[in-house]
Amino acid sequence: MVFTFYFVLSWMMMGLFIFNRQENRGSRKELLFLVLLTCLINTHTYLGLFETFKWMKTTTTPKLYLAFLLFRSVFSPLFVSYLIMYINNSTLIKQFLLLLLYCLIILGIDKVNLSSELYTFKKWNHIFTVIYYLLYLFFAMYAFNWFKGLQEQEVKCKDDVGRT
Amino acid sequence: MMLVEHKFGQNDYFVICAVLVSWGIFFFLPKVFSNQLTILIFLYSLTAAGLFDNSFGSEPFDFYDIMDGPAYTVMDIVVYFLYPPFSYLFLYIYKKFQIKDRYLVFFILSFTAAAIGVEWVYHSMGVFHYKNGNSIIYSVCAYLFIQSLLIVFYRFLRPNEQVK
Repeated sequence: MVFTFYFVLSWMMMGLFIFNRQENRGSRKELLFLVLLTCLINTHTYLGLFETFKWMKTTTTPKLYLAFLLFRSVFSPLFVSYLIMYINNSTLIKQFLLLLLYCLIILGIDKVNLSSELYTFKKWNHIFTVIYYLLYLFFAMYAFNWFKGLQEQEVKCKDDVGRT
Repeated sequence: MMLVEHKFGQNDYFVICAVLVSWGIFFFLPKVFSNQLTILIFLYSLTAAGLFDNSFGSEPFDFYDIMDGPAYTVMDIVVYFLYPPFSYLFLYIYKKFQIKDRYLVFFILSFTAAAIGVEWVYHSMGVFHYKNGNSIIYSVCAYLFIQSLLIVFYRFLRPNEQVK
């Protein structure tokens, strides 16, 4: 059940990224940067931080673990990346509303994960999850803006890749 | 988070030396990619390695351990610094020698063979420990997939670079 839930959500986020991408929101490089960075952070946080410090325990049931992988490494990064693209192009009031909606969705997702036993809390609670996801969002936004500001100084070189 | 799980030994010294050598090679290589693309190459290798380690290397699969054991240590993080220069070298050769599509399969196969050779050295030095029926031969699939996807990413980004 929860596997299908995250499979559908991941598929939906991928679809939005591929088919609903608006060029003025960011170039391909910027998009890829966001997705890779958010995926890298979230993937390491659950095992490297939450498990190491015994703040939460992830499931060891293979079927649930696959759902957890989809949530941790596909859905969450794509969701956060998509939201950052929206927040970056919104007015202040809309940004505030999007943040509020983000917190509510994270809270809902966290409740679903707990009730499906994807993980269990040890020294953790829903508020910490929301705080973590807010920090995660802000850091990714900051890194995204830094990446956008990088100068494109490619060494000029004949690029024949892709030629048959 | 601990520095090492047991004691600072041969594998730790080896990893530090390997990191220094691989980054030394990177610094001596001509910089043929833009800053943004170089960061994306690094990020891609870190994310791909992180995804494999944190998915197949942890319970319930638990196919391998990095360094001394299953715990997440500082030296585990140092191991991640081995991957970016290798990815850069891979794309550098691809671009420098303008590998044509008809030779692409052989190029990826050659690099996979080289990667397997390097992994065998790491395994011999105690950096990777295979568990639960896993062996180095299964890494061939991972390298073929990761390197092919890197080429796809690179070619996905190239046309955009000429437009933007």
